[in-house]
Amino acid sequence: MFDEIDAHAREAYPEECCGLLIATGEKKVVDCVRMKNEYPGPKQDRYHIDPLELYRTDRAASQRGLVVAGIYHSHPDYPATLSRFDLDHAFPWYSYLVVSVGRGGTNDRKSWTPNEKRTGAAEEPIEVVEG
Amino acid sequence: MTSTGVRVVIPTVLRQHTNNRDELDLSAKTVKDALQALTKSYPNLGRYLYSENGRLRNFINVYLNEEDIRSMNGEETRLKEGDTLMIVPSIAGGSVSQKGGVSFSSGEFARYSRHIIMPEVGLEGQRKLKASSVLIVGAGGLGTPSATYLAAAGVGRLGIVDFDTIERSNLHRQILYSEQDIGKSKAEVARERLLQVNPNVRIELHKVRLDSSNALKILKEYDVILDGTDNFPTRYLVNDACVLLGKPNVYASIFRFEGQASVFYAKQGPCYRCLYSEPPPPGLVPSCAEGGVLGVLPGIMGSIQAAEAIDLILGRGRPLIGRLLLFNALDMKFEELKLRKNPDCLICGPNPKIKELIDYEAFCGIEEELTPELEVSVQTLNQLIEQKKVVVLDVREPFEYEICHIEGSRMIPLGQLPERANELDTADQIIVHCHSGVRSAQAVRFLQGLGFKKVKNLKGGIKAWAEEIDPTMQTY
Repeated sequence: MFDEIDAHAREAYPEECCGLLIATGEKKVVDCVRMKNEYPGPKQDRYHIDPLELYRTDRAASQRGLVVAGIYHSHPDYPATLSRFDLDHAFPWYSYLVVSVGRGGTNDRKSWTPNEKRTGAAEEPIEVVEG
Repeated sequence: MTSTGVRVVIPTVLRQHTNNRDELDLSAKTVKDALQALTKSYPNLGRYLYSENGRLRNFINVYLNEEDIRSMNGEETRLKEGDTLMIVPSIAGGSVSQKGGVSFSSGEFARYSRHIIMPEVGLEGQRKLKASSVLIVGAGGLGTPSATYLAAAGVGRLGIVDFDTIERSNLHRQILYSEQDIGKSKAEVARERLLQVNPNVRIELHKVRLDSSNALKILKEYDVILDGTDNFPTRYLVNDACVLLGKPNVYASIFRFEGQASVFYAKQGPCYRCLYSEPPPPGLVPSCAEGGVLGVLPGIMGSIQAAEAIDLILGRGRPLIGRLLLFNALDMKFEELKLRKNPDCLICGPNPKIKELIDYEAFCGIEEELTPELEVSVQTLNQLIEQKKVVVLDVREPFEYEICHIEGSRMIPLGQLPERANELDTADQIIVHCHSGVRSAQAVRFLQGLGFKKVKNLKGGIKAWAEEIDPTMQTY
């Protein structure tokens, strides 16, 4: 799955890519779904997900007994931390997986959960469960 | 009081706060009632949806049957039995606020200070403007004021599509041009003036006629497209290219004292074809050259386009997506119409028939020019008049006739021709003229259809007559 997200980040470079993380109720991510970056302006440092596309993906997940538990997006030529802008727009109930990507490919990935006041975010461990 | 049964769908991730249910049925009369009932039952959910002061949080979208309540009556929108309300977060982000990339000189700080001190713009917004690009199609009445304001606002890159040259009749509304520019290229003069307004802006010129062969390539390079065209083929072309490229099309059009503006952004709302699936029959809607236009009008409508482009770039406010703004400069009145996406739209509907650009001239029924044997030059007409062998038919309006006319001509305005054609004799040789030759060509076709065989069009109209035969004639 990380391969899929990395590939998305590389394909979108130098623009930001974005997508959804589909998980079980225990936040075990089982699938990722690409979203189109709908931001109308320059996409090098911005992404926006179409609410109706999110809604439809959320419904499809629900039918499988799954949850849209998080959002992934790439930071082209920028570290895998949540920016001030990311935080301003973040929801505390989602996990935010950020992939740093450069011309040569992806560098780093980190996952974050924003606090309720959107003043900061805690890094959460990413565990790879094989099989 | 009767209540209405509605279903509320909440994001799956919030199930933990609603006893593992992501669809809830409840009774409510308005959106507000429904959300209140929901948060009363599930206080934890309320904390996520409402801020401390009891307002729906920013970035929370509520859709009623897949339509944003903001495009209806907001939280006061009334509900019907069986309605579905969806709570959908608006997810956005990006790295810009900490990234360098765009920086400003001290001169630019001073220049944009009145923008930067507004929280809705700020340094962040000003950076977005500098990082953005806008293409202006047509550097005319609409394009000149919008380009001026966008350059002044600090948009980083402005593209201009125009292959025309400046005429004296442009000057009452096309504010970038002056008397000494007559005959020069609009694009070139516009670039020179815009760089005087703001030398920090990059101006790119496309001195071509926008058509199906080049539109996608040119539009692709810009974030926002501004339609300042004056004809239907180009308007449909710009719309279709924007839909295919997924770009917002900031539209305005003007006629006499009335203007229209909207933002056609197929990803979020209707496109131009949803509003007008087909062009009007050719000749029915006169152009500004034929019908006239108040010089101030494009100044107002072009400024609205510039403001809309800035809103889109900043991602602030509520752009004219799904709304058509109507302005009347005589009554000094703004009105607004709600526009809906047409589910059968040929280009932005779910089953589009148009998947690439088409021939827009043919689509708009623009007929080819009259064949040469149906046209006469002003010199030929002059000879025929001297030989007294001709009836000169003027199909312009009476007020145009008052400004100037060819001695001895008969006036029947184009619109009256069907009922007054019997005043003409099929045996006569008739030369029809108007101001520049467009309306008279229609009259020639019409009269031919009635059986007139000796009817021809004056090439270039009375304008050419004034230039080549009678320089003392008053022109307009």
